[in-house]
Formats: sequence, C-alpha cells, structure tokens
Amino acid sequence: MIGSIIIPNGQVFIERPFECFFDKKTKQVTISGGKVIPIYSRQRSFKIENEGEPITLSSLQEVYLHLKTTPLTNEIETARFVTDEDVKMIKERSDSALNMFLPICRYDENLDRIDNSFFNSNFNYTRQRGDEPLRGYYDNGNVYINGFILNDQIPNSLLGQRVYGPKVIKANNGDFIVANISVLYRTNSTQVSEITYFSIEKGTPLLSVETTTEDTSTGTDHGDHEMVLSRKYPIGYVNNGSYVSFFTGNVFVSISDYEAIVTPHEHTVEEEATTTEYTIVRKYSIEL
Amino acid sequence: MIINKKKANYIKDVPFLAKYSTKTMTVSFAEGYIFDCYESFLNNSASIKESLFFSQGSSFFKSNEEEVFTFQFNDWFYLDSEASIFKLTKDQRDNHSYMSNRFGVSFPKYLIWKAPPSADVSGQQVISENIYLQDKSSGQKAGFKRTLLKKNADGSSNYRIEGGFVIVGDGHYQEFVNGLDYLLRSGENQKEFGVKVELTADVAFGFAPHDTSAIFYIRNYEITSAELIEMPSNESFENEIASVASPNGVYYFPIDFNTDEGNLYILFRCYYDFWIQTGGSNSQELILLGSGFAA
Repeated sequence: MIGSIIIPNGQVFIERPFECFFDKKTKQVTISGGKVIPIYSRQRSFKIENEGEPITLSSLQEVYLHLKTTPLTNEIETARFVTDEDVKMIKERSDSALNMFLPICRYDENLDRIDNSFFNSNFNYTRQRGDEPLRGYYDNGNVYINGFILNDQIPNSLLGQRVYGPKVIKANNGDFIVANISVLYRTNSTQVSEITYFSIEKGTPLLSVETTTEDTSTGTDHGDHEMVLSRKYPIGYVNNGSYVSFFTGNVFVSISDYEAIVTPHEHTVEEEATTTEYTIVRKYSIEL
Repeated sequence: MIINKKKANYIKDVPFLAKYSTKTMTVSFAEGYIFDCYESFLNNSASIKESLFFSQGSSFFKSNEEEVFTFQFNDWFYLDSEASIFKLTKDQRDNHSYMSNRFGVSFPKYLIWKAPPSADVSGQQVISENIYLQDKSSGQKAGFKRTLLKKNADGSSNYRIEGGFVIVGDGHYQEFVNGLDYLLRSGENQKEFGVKVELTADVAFGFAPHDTSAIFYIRNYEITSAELIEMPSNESFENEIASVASPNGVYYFPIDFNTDEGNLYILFRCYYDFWIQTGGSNSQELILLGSGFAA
C-alpha cells in the first residue's frame, strides 16, 4: 500500500507500509498501513489486529510484527504487533517454526527516537511446501506430529506401508517423543516377518533393555528361532517451547544382527602358554 | 523504511535499486535487506550503539550500498542468501559445468538486476523490495545444529550451537547439554564443537570378533558428565568413536581413551545425524543422540 501526501512546502513524501509514528510526549508508537498477503493459500489478506493502536514503549523496547501459523495446515492464525516482552512469552509456549517475528521499530531512549526497521513493504506470506514425515511442532502443551511412512529395507515385506501416528500428543518441556515399535523376527529368514506394533507417543527412550533379545549361542550359528523385538526410539523432544527433531524423513526399519561382545577369559594350562577364550554374545536390535 | 517527515525522502531508498553508467560501465546498488523470517537473534547484552540490532526478531543481512561493480553488457547481478551481491556473465550462465562446479545444486535464486544488452537499451531492475526468506525448516530445531545468526559490520559473525540430549544405555543417564552462542572474528577459521562425555569404566583388551585386530573395550562404565565444548584445534580425532568405521553398527573403542587428570573421557564431534553405539560386556549400549550440523 503506497500512497503519497502533498505537504505545504511542496516536498513529496512516500508513505510506506508499516510506517511508525512516534509521539514523544506519550512515548507511544503507532503503526499504520501494511497488509499480510498469503500468496499460496485461499486465505484473504490480513489486516493487522492492532493496527493503529498506540503501543507504549519503555527503554530499548522493540516492536515486531508477529505472524503465527497453524500446525499442520500452515495457515496464518494471528497477525499483530507485539513488543519484545510479548515475544519472550510466545517463545516459551510455541514452536519457533510456527512463529515469525519481523522487526518493525525500536525505541532509543537516549536519543528519544524510533530506529529504522527497514521493513517497508506489504508482507507476502508464501505458504510452505508439505512437511516431511515425522516432523513435529510444539504449541501450547501439544506436540503435533505429521504423518509418517513406515518402510523396511528388506524386500517383500511391508514395503511402503503408510501408517498414521497420533496427530496430537500432550507434552511438556523436556518430554521425549518416541517411536514404539515391535517386530516379529525369525532368525531363519532374511526379512522382517511382521511389524506387530508401531506408534508415535510420549515416553522414555529405552535403548537397550527392551530393545534387544540376546542369543548366547557361540560362534556364527544363529539357530532357528522366532523372537519379538521391541524398541522405544527417541525421535525428538520438547525444549524451551520448540520441538527438536532427531528424524526428518520416512522411517526405515531394519534388524541389526551382530556379534556384540568378545569377553576374554584368560587361563593357564600347565606347561602351556597362557591362552584366552572368548564368549560371543549375539545381539539383535531394531534400527530406524 | 521509517520515513522522517522532517526531511525529504527520495526514490533512491528503494531496496537494491541499481545506479549504473554505460560510460564508466559501473553499477552500485541501494541498500537492501534479506530477512530470514524463522531465524531469530537473541542477545540480551546488545549495545545501544548497535542501531541495527533487534533482539528477538528475524536475523537479517544488509547489502553493501557502497560497493561499486564493473559490468559488461548482458551481465546479471544476483544476491546470495547473506545479501552479498555478485555477477555472472552470459558465458558463465550458459556454461552448465561452471555453474554446477560453483553452485552445486543451489543455483543463485535472487536475480536483482540485468545489465543492458547494449548502450542503447536500459538495464532491467528485477528485485526492488527487501527479501523475506520463509523456509520453515530453518526455524525447526535440531540438536547440536549450528546457525549463523548475524553478520556484523566489522566482518565478525554471531553463531549459535543448539543444545541436545545425551542418552546412555537404558536411559539411566539422560542429560540435556546446553548449547552456546559464540562470535567468529573476521578471518578466523570456523570453530568445531563436540560433546565431551566423562566416564568411569573398566577397560580391557581384546580382539575383534572376525579378525585378530586389537581393540580395547569397556565394561561397567558410568557416565559422570557430558558437556558441549569447543574442539581443540590440534586435537587428534583418531581416538574418536565416531571415526571408527564399522559395518555392523557396533563401534568399538579404538586403541585407548583420552585422559584428563586420570579421568576417562570421550570426544564426540558434532556431526549431522550421528548415532553412536558401543557394545559392552554388560550388554549396555552407549548412545549419543543428536542431529548435528553440516558445516
């Protein structure tokens, strides 16, 4: 929105969007004009909620245009002017990826003036591409997880199966979100036989105790048997109002089968050199 | 742009506006800004003299309006994502291998001005607004990720390393390792960071399962602390677990541990999406979780 004002001395002034007007007597700034225009959505242009309302500033206080988008749908939910104190509170309860804070102006108490913001055009909001599977957002006590695709690296079993996890998980600062998975595994088969359970939920990462089944047969002979392997893999956590992801894509399930440990047992036979024996412990583990 | 109504304001304030002469074949550009909408700068110790400073909003980069470029007809001028201006000649643009070698798959996105094809034709202004980057993924957090926050006028830069979780074994050790902000001075090499995990353990000597190569392994270990540290520049990384190739996902401790006044510690360099496991005779695993940075 660009208009022009003719003033008495004949100079032409260009009034740009999001202009700030500062009243030195009241220490209030008023921001007028300017729109938020969603480019790739059916939403209409946004007029700022508190446009034209005076904002009282204290020393070094800053003013931002706050745009909040909605988890999953990615549409603009809020557009309003806020101070840096408001920003701090918003960041404590909502994900950084959902909130934009565009600098508008800052009050300089020493010079008793408003500093430039360089923000001088209507804001075109370009809606994002689709989110990757297993991306998450934190907003007001909930983690929002996108759909995910469950896959496995071994041919002929569950290839490309799409599974939808819970969309909303209640969580607080410091909570883990885990992928809880159980797989029926046959040692005489080269493929994952059946994925018996898969969910995304809040929980404690259990990386060993519930995740492996040990076969203490020696050597490289597996023996033929079935086992159910389960694992709670951490995929992210909530930290200071944001969801921190460990995963950013599809899930690939594979079974690790490895000889984990060589435990030496030294013993001496009379008139022979010291020899060492080893116990091999086979371990099976689900990897994502 | 905040308009000061006590003085005249002119069109020259239009961002990235080209001012050129076909006599001298030089061009300069009005100042403009690139805002990264999802990256915010957070620094409570900012000086009041930093007039460009905003503490909580988008990180932004300012182009250099004083820089004067020479040009030839048909040159095109671009911005990179940090508001540095550069030019490409027609031959360069048409040379696919040159473009691939220079830019990889990230071809320049922001064309700001096309130089005239001849002295009789005017140049073409393409971008005349500040640029607002809206890549939502840049605002999503990842453990141990490094982010450029701000470039300063003196050539230094502010960076941040995000914190991350260190989780050991069955979860009996879970600690959040705090991130940190740091200043990289002009001309200084980029800093490398790692997680230093201190532990007590029984260390024993053995052989790898399928061959006779010597390995050291631990058992009965206990993690005592974990912290994010700047890697010493002369540190040998040969002893890092992360540097040991392993086809089966098991990482054995190679050779020996680092010691610091008699205590054992391991350094994990911050890599992108690294997962480290060690087999232990007590069937525990040592796992460090995090999505590190790609330098």
